Amino acid sequence: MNPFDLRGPEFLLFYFIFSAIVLFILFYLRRRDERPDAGKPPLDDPYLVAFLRGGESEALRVAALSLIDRSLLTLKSSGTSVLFPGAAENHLELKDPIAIDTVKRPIEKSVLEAFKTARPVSSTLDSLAGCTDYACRLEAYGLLPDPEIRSARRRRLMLAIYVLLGVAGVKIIIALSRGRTNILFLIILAGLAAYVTLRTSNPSRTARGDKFLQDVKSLFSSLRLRATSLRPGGATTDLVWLASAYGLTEVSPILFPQVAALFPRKSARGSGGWNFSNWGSGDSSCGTTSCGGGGGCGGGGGCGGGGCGGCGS
Amino acid sequence: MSAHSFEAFLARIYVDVGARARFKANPRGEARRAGLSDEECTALEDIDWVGLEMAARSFARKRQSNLNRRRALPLWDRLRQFLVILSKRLRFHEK
Amino acid sequence: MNTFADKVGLGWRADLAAGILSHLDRIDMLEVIADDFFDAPRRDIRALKTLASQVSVVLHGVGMGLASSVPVENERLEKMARLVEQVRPQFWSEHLAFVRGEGIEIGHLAAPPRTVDTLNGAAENLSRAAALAGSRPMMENIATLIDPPGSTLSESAWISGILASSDCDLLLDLHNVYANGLNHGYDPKIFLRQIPAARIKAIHIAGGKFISAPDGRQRLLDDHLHDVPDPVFELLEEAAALSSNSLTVILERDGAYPSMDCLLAQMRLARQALARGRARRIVAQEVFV
Repeated sequence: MNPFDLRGPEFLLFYFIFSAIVLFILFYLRRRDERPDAGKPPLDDPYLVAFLRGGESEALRVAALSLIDRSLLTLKSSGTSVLFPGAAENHLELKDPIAIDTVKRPIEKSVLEAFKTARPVSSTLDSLAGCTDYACRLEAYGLLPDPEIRSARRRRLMLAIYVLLGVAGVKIIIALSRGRTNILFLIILAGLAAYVTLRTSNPSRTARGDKFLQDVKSLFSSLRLRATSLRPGGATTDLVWLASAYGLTEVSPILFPQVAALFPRKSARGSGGWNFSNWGSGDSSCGTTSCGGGGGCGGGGGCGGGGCGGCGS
Repeated sequence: MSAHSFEAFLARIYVDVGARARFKANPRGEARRAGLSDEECTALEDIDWVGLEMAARSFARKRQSNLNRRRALPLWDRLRQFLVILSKRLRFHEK
Repeated sequence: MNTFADKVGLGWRADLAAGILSHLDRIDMLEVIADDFFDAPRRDIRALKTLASQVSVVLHGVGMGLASSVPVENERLEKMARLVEQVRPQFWSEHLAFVRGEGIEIGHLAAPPRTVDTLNGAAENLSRAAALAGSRPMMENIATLIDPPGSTLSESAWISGILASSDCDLLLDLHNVYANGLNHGYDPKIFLRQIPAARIKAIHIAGGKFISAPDGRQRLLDDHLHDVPDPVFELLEEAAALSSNSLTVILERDGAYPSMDCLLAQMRLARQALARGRARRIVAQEVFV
């Protein structure tokens, strides 16, 4: 039975099932390629988690947020320390150069050094791309796809797109040659199939990375529920973990007004999917990869309750 | 000693304000009514009354605190816990 | 030289997650409340396993009521067994308490009458628990505001009897020993010498507060909402001097959380108390030699 001889509605059903099979094959091959147990990723670095969730830009912004909260950086708007309207150009400046030697994390050192003099927030943070080794480390842990995997994904994706559009194209040609012009639904379905394939076939994280991120979110789900009761001042690491695991959007702008100044100029939205800026580029080296933004997931009941409340009456 | 009954009696007077008040008014009578032995009744007459009141209050606070924690769970988690309990009860009835 | 591989850890609490993960290098062990995970979704169990891959974890049950003449329900044992299988903790533990009677839930840990019946009941329950879970639990002594009526055995004799019958080890809660000593009139240090030191494998330290009794006096409530008092560190030193085992010491805090620095400082005091106790033990051994 030649599927190209199927009538319109039947062919649409065939094409739908065919697209689903193509997507499933891509999914299966993607999982098969991912590295098996590649060591235990550490749980003690919030910026690693921020990078995994939202890329280097996100990790840098979380670092900046933490440094401002700890009064190591000062946020200024139009030359004065005021609240930060979206349109104003916001600047960050290092409060005391000694702070560079007191912070432990290299990413924090990099951010502090970048703001030795007052500089615009967004453009300066964006210019720090490549300053961390998180991408390499996350690839080594199998949480992000390494260049080899990314290359294989791109090849398979191209092939899948060609096949999907090719099959639709052949049917359209056959239909037109037979005098049938009701091809609109097929065009829409083919476009939709290609779009869904593009969006879902090259996620920024591996399945292992998704699970690790979900685990971190589970461990901190209680923190997310307490987000509006966090205290500014840097006395605890609650803020940095909240922002790292769930994103800057989870931070209360009333308690932490500086967060509004840290959102990137252009939205880095979308969880996974094809990043068109990478189309046709060679494999990126560690440290220069730009990851897609990660969306937040729902919180759960929380890992760990309130303890036993005392052992006895 | 009918140990099971004794523990059950203790649980009742720890938790039930009315049962505890009746027990304070007539320790031997209430213990007898619960089917406890002479020895157990005598032991209960010598109970640490101050400790009983303090323990009962402490247990009540803990029960309330557990209830508050359950209520504080997100709706989805409460619903999920409810469904888990319901499925267990249905399985129990099938047996 | 201190050759004991003692460990000092902290109770895992969701509100302390950020502080704990930021200081994992200073925490040897995390104690997780098992009951919080019995009906948890798979994602929470997986998160717990991820945590357990980073730091040693022990499971601590609070709702079984094993020290009772009433057989514990299989379902509760099976839940613990499943969690132990999934998480593979260093050990699991429960309390020498009863928590319910004929369907009435007390809501917390209550001291059962210390009799031969509850001793035998506990041993039987522990035997079933060990068979189902694949390992014996460590059993923890509890604090009680009420001297359990109908008791025919002293607390130390009762605990020793259960440990001997069940072959379980003891998770010695020192604040509970301190509180019971104050509330019921005995010397905690003498109590420590009455229980088999060879069975002490883990220790809890915590704090509480004095509450007013109806008779105008005060009793100490073990509420886990306060810093560890000095007498408990002194008892820790005693326990370290008595025990030849490597000890796992867990700081318990269930609310009114201080800063992480404060909790780490208490853990540091615990390490110092352990070291002092071990040093005394070594000196005592050298004197005998």
